[in-house]
Amino acid sequence: MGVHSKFDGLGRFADPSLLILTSLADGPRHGYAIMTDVAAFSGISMEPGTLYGALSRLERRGWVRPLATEERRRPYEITAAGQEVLAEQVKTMQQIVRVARLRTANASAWGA
Amino acid sequence: MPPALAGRLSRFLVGCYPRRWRERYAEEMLEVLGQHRPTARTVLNLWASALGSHLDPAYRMEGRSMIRRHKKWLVGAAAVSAVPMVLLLLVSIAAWQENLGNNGPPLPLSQGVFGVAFSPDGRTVAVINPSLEMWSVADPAHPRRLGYSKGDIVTGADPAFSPDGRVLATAGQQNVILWNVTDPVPRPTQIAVLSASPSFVNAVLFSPDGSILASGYADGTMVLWNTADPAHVTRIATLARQAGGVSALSFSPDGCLLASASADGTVVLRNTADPAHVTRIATLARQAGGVSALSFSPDGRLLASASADGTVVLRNTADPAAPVITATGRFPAWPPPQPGAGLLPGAALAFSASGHTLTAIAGSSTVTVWNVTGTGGLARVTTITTDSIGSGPVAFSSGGHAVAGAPATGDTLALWTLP
Repeated sequence: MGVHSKFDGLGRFADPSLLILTSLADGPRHGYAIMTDVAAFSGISMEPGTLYGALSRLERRGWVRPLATEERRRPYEITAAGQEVLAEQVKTMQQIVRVARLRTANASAWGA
Repeated sequence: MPPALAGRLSRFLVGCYPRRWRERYAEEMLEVLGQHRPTARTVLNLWASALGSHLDPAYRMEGRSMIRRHKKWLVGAAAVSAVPMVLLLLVSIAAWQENLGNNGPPLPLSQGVFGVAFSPDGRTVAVINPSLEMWSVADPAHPRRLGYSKGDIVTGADPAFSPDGRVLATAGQQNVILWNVTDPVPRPTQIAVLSASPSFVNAVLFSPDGSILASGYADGTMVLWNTADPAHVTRIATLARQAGGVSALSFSPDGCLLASASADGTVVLRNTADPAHVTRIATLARQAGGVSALSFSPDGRLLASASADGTVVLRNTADPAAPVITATGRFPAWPPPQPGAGLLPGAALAFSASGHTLTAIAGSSTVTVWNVTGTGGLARVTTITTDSIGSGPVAFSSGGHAVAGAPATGDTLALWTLP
């Protein structure tokens, strides 16, 4: 399941917290749904150990909030603080992407 | 690493987290592991994560001296580091442990069981584990695997056979899959994928004549599909949401009534005589726990509902607009009733073909059998306890002659023939 590419190795650059916040940005999801969603949108397969390690950190920082258990599955919801953090992260990443694009474009232009 | 072993080790490692962690996360982690296909990578990842959590000050005991905290950490680290040794032990246990002692050998399944259903003739069992496996149980003492699907279904819901036994509907994560199971050797073939709601499919059921398939979703949506021609299924209607999410479905024998249960303890009755214009007839008084199983009696006059607080309620639905409770019965339910809504992980109800007995099992290893009197009364006849069935998925054959069930985290399915 999910989109796997030869860039799977990039997974190590992706912060599980960021992936989880992104997954929860459009509505609450439970643990397994987060895993499949992250795999679908990023191609990164997150193991349960990593997922719950990150979830517990996010919960302690107040960026996600657990909802009532439904049939032993507990959905998580992003908090207002979590949304702020995600927006900031996205801004930073956009800046990085912009610079990276510019520099790789320049590099190839010079190379040519 | 074989998946069964990886699953076993993963579940073991969840038990190696600090106590405070386990109290908060163990149950849902086990649930995720049940859905996930564990590999060696999962085991390694859990091992590292468990070790990390022991080093995390937030999960160490508070208000203790440094030495004690140090000691606590050492004990935790030692427990986690014991894994390689325990691994050896588990390998030998996995090789040795096979039989759970029932009246048919358990079906060895590669993963945990997510859902189970008997074919209408009781000769075949469909198991979701999480691929679809078809087993012949014509000779219960010698079950035989007929075939299995490629790819996983990954679901926590029981599949449903069409009344002629030729088509099987499985509840996928967000869609229903129809399978041709007339000849499941070597594989059942996929006929159609039905998508209607972004939420999980919790229950699927064919109408008694097979022309309609009802699917109930975790967000409370219900959809009726025209399955007269399984190769060309069309959506007939999307029904108004039921609060709490749909947890169980039952059609009356004439197909004119559809009962749907919800995790908030209510049951809704709808008139499905004209599937294109379904109307809500009644919402039945809330039961204390989430309603996990539903069944109409063979004459359609009684509706039994089993809820998570260990109660079965019998109602006379001769006048569906004003059903009357005729009896309530108690049965052992596990986990024990808790305040608030909840569902039993494995629950099933079955009337005998004559309608004279009602059999229930719900999240425990005990089957309860009642006599049903002419006026809709219940008199308990017997209880049968078997360790090989736990809180995992469970199903009765039609008429309740046989039960197939699995322990919550087990990788076997036990078959029992009931007296």
